[in-house]
Amino acid sequence: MLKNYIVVSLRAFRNHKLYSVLNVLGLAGGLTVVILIAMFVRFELGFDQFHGDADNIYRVVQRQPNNFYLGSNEFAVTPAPLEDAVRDELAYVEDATQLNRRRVLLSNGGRGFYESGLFVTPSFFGVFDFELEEGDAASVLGSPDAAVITRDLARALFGPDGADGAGAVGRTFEITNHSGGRIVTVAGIAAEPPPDSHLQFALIVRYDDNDRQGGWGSNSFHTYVKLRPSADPGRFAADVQDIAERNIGELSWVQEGNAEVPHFFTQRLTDIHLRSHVNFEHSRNGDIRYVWLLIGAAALIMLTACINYTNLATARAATRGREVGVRKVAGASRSQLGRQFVGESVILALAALLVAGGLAKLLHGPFSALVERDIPAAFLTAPSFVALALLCAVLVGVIAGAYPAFVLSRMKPVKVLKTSGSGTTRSMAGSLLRSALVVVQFAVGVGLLVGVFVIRQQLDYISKAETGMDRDRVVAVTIRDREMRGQWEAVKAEVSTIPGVVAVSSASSLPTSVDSSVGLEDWEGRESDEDVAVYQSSVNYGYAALLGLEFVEGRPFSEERAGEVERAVVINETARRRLGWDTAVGKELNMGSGPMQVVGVVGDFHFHSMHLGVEPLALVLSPDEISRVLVKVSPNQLPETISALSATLERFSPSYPFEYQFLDDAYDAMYRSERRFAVVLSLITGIALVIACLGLFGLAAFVALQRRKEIGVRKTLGASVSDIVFLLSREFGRLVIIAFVVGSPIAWYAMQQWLAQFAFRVNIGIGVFVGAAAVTAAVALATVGYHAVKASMTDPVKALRHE
Amino acid sequence: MSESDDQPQLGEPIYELRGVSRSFGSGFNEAHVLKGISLDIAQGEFVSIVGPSGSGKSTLLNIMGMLDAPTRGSCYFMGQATHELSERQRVKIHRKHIGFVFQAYHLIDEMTVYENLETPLLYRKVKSGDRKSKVADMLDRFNMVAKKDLFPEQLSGGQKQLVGIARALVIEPRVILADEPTGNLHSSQGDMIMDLIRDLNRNDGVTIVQVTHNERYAAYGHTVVELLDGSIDSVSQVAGQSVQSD
Ligand SMILES: Nc1ncnc2c1ncn2[C@@H]1O[C@H](COP(=O)(O)OP(=O)(O)O)[C@@H](O)[C@H]1O
Ligand SMILES: [Mg+2]
Repeated sequence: MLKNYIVVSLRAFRNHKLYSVLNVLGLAGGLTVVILIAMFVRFELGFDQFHGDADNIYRVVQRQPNNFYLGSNEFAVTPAPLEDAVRDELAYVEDATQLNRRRVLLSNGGRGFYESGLFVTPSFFGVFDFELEEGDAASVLGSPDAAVITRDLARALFGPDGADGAGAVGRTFEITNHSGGRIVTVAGIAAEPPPDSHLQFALIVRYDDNDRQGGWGSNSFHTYVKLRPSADPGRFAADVQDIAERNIGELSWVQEGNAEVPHFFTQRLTDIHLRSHVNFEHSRNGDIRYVWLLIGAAALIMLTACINYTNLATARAATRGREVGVRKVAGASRSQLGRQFVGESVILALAALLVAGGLAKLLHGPFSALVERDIPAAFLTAPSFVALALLCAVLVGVIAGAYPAFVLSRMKPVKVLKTSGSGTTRSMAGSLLRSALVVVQFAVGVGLLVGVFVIRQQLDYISKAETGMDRDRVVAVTIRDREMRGQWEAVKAEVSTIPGVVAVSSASSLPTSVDSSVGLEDWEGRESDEDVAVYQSSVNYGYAALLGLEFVEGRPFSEERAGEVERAVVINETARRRLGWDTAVGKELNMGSGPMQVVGVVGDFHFHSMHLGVEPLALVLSPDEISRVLVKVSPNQLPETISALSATLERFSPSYPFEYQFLDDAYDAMYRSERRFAVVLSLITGIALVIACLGLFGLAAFVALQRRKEIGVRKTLGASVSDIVFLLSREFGRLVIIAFVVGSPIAWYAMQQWLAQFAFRVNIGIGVFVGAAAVTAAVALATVGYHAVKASMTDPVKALRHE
Repeated sequence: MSESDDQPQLGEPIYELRGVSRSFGSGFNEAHVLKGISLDIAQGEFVSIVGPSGSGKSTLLNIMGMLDAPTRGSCYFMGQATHELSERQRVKIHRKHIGFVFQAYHLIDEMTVYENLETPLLYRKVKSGDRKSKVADMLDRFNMVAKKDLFPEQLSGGQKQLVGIARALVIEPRVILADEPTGNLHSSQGDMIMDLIRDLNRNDGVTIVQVTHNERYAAYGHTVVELLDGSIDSVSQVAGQSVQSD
């Protein structure tokens, strides 16, 4: 019986190629998107699970209620003594470790290169299960100068000798960071960390005493704790807080009431990637909201694809009447027929899955690049994944096939067998439901289009926004060589002679992301209990001019005036307002290093991303601070200018590589995840529309076929081609309008939520909706129009001959 | 109930129609298509139903085939009132005893001749071996072995109707209901089909109820029932024809 069904289904597919191809393509397109998104979701949800005790590992983090920094008052860092305290005092703690991720200069003689290294305490491998290719987890970090590196790094450091890993063990190299340089010895070779680890490294070294100073007052170490399986995580958080109260509470500045003990809390290791958005993460995390958004998008796409099938199959049901009738007369029961037709759609869904699997394999690479994740291709063939995909396809087949099967198996043989032709019935089986489904499809399309338009508008707004700063053609060179401090005059003199250089200055941080913040000790006119925190950047002469900052009061720092270094300050308008000043020039404030005098006030400019509002800012004159050399260049001969710049700076600092970026690029990079999201959503929208159109195309074909006679009659009565086209398109046009009415408000609401993350955002204008409606209508009409025109060209004599 | 119990004896009624009426629509638009038809058909009988187009012949045949139900009156099939049966029981009886032949053949286009013949057996859950031999018998009997892998579109009208009859016959039904089986055929093919149907009746004892417009073909039966405007106008015995046993 089954074989009979399958054979007949396959022949039926072959005899109705257009129908079958539209169906398989629609389902395959939908399933491809679902598979790719499922791979992404699985990857995101699987972060850090590879550690044997992943579920028992926690990170300790803290909240400082009154200390907002870059939009959050939570911090991933803790005091240095916390590691020993939890290990010694809490019996249910199996092990604990502290670490920091730092960029360090590595060299084995000659010019070095930068690597991101993990500075760790010796218990690192006691908590984490990173695989070691050489060395033993228990002892590899035993010696204070121990370093563990990856094979790739071994090759980079030691050339061919290091290539096999083992040859590198025992060799030494130099690491340099801001606290100076030291020699370390390779004690082990680590496998490349898995792509789904939130900790990435090529190098692991033990802290030396310089790296890890400070008692309970320090606050810069990431603490990871592995609990015994029997431990109660809730109690652990409470115990950590208790330890903090006892120790931090004893500090003099807490006792004097200048600060409070922060609130400590814990995060599961496996939650960090998707659910942690605190300050000082190791790297940019994923976001559970995007995971949900993508799951939602996948569901919408699948819904669209299922609807396609349902619609096409019910439309075609009209032409399968005879088969149903004959089968019933031959003794088929309703349930047997139902099973047959559901079975058919399951077969189609499985065929579509096969196509989708191939497509997903092809698209895996580009997709991974698009979402910026190293999603393993092996996911595709993992048994559990394949089983899930099969289940999903069968489910899709059953859901999509249920209604057509219901319609078909309900048909009465007496009715469908009466006509002698192909068994086509004029009854528009389920045409109301079909219209409703088309509305849903296009509502999804309209909604997604509105989403895409709003996101694009916001990104466009961001890239064109007046940020109060001229980022154009500003090169920011990162200087890590401490030896260069104090050489400003010489650097400036040399750089200025490069032909393409227009202006030179420097600062302690990038002007697009000033990330140092300090609470003001005092300022003129302070009401006693007020607290104001300001972001601060050390800057050099010419900073404001180079960036085109506008002064609303006062003037920039001047080399002509003595005594301004570290004593004069330029603030922004927000700072002036927050400090309660009408005019600021001449007033004094104290940032902790004695009173400074305000010499100027600049108009507010964005020194953070558009996600955040403009905060108070203080620019302090400090010519020795040259962490970022800012160079305004002329548009001509840019490459020559950059290489001259590189040559000049490398002369000053022979062991450090030249590192630079354009300020414009740094600005754009802050919206990377939004841009990525925009691309992903655009693609999904495109696919949803294409799928919806496939369905509409098939549907229009059937409607045109069913109305062949009517069209013939109308033509003999004098209807023109355009009359017929209008007649056939009108119906679908109406559906698109309803879809618009349904989809727009939902999309409007969703996009308001999305925009809320930006302190500076566009208003959703009417244009977005008009645009979405126009695109949808155009796409739908173009699809329907093809059949409408074709139908209107039919020869009425032929169409009516069969009557 | 044992097998032999539901084998009606020759001469016993297989159909008893009592005041069967069928109307379509309601109220002002109600069309009374059959108006109180009463008719007995004996096991092994060959009945021809004739009458002008629109007189209700097909409607009557559909009711007898349980594809449709009377609005009033009852139709007994082998002693059971069809309207008292559940859908499930109807399908069961239908599968077992009734074979249909249509004017328009109604073969399934996507199936070969062989598969078209096999389908009714599949619905009866006949085992694969039996199925093969039954289909092979039919092909043999109708000289269609060479055509068994062809699709309907590759056959002539007469050949299609042969397949249609073979399909009705493959389940070894008690009764074959044929609605203008020769209506679409030219006369030589029509004669061949009618001879075949008569043989079935004579040699296999299959009860035949056929609808026809052709007087000559009507005379192949024992009894001719003439319908006029939904009522029986006359019932006549055909001279020289009587129900025979073999
Ligand atoms: N399902 C139906 N709905 C309404 N009228 C019907 C239906 N089936 C048949 N009729 C009407 O019943 C009458 C008899 O039809 P039918 O039994 O097919 O006649 P015959 O087969 O004798 O030509 C016709 O007028 C036809 O229009
Ligand atoms: Mg008829």
